[in-house]
Amino acid sequence: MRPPDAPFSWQRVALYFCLCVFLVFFLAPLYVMLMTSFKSLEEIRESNLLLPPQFWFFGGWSKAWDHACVGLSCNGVKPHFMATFAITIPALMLAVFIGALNGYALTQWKFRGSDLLLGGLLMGCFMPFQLYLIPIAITLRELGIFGTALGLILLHTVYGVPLATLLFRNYYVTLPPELMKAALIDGAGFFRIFFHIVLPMSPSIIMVAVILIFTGIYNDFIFALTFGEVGQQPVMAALNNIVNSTYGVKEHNVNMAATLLTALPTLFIYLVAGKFFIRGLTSGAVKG
Amino acid sequence: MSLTIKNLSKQFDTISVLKNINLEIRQGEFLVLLGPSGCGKSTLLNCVAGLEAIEDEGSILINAQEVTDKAPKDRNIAMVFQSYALYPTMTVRKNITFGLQCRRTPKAQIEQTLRKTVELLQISDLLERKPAALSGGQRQRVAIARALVHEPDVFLLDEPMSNLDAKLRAEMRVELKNLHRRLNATIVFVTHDQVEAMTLATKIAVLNQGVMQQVGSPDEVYHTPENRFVAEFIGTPRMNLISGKLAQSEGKVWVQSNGLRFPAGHYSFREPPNEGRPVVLGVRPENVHATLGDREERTTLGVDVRVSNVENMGADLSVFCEYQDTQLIGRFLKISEKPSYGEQIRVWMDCAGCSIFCQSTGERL
Repeated sequence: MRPPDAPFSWQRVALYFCLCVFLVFFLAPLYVMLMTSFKSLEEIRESNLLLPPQFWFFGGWSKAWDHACVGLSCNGVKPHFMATFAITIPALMLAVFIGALNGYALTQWKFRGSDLLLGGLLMGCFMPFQLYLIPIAITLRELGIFGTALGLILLHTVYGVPLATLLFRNYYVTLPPELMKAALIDGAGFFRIFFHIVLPMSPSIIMVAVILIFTGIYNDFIFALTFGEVGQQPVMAALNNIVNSTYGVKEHNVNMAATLLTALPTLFIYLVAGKFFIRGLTSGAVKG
Repeated sequence: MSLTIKNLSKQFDTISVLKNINLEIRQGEFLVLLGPSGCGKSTLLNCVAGLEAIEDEGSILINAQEVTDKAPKDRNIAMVFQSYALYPTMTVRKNITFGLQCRRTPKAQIEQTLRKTVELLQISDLLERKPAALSGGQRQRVAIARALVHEPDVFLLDEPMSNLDAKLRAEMRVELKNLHRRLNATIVFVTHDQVEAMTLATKIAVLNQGVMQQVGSPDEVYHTPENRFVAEFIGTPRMNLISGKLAQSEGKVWVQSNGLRFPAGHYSFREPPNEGRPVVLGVRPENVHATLGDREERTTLGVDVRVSNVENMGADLSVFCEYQDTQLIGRFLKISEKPSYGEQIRVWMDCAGCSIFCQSTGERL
């Protein structure tokens, strides 16, 4: 049975009007970017910002991908994508794994001072990164990984762990305590319980953590700019180089294309992984 | 296959939840730990399982072996939980065999044990299902199977039936009793349901506020309760308790209350009855009758009461009566004896199986 259609009301009209205004407000920049990226430079100069291109021009996109100049090298954003993923994926996996392990240990194996430890870890979530730049620089130098991908992986792992820990802790704190008891009596140890019982129950929270931390690392600009390898900077730093270069003609179509390219992975991960935001994975463990 | 608990005390912060518990369970015994919620019975079970550390005092022995400081897995126990605590992402097969795998049991032996157990519990066709796809009764069986495969010295069951509906509960009771008989298992069963305790136990331990009130067979606990708490906690409708004083006349002992004189000459006092001692007389509702019949007049007293409520239980009637300000409950076996509300009737209280408690301490005299 379908609920009957709501009767016409001016309230509803006003509501939808507001929604439409906001929709336009938020989508207009994206629309302008998309249209501009498909225009040639002449058309950009001559035509209206809001009009679609008269001639669809793909040169901006190919230049952005392949041979826009980042500093002295003119290979587009392509190599920087690779560099970003080489940093993001290991750091993401490490941070999520360690976060899960932390959350599990802090909820299911409570020890004296575990709450204090959690509090300390969470401080990491709320401190602005800028505060640490110089200490980090010194630390990375001492470790001999300053200006390398390895350094960035370490950094992002360390800064991803507090958020991951918080997410997993809040999820694991709701696990029925009897599950742990049953597993202990069954003779399972710390890691066996984690890998065989707790982790298989966590896909939804893993997805949440992956989305948040991936976005965090991928969108990071300050670490990428400060500690990125010269010529191999992550894509955010490279994009800044392309868009903010101060000499030559402003190639708006290339800039727009490069920006859109850079935004694609996060968009993609939200669309794909969002499906896994599912609930009820623990149903059936206790009375249903 | 015995279990001994010695001088066990347990505190959470400053709250004492178990006070000097002593308990002895022999091979093949079905011990029910009975008490109201929050009395410490589950804590006691967790101590036996090794899930609660014993920091304060006391020791636990299984098969005369000290296990107080051993990990749960090294105690050779198995446990069934109220929520069943099945692993939600594992199939029934994995749920049952997980513990064996943890203990590195050879594959062939696991398979054999599994087959034997699932046949015993009639869950062979559920092996590939996940817990979410099982009914309450099926989950219960899987949880029991998971305990059985370990062939433990002691089974610990923590209110395993409180999530089942009444009909299923009655079925599982019979099944569990049969299982106990077949396996000659040693079982500790925690419940707050006195019907479960009476029907399942070979021995009942009644716990209240962390203190052991009485340990004995169901009959002992029912017919000779050690104190007022046990008397009131066990039995529905609850035992009639009448305050009075001990009196002696005609060479016999009586309980004098509100002008009534209940015969207690047959009662075996543990200490000589002092005249005038304030006591509480306990008479079970089934000993309050509608007619004198052929009951002994020596132990029976007729009381004129006013009926305040009648509950029809089908097989019998629970009749709530008032004598002055005392409420009396009787169980009348014959529906034909059904009195109506407000009616003045005479009930016959048979004191042959009565209990007498000290009014101040509540202990049995």
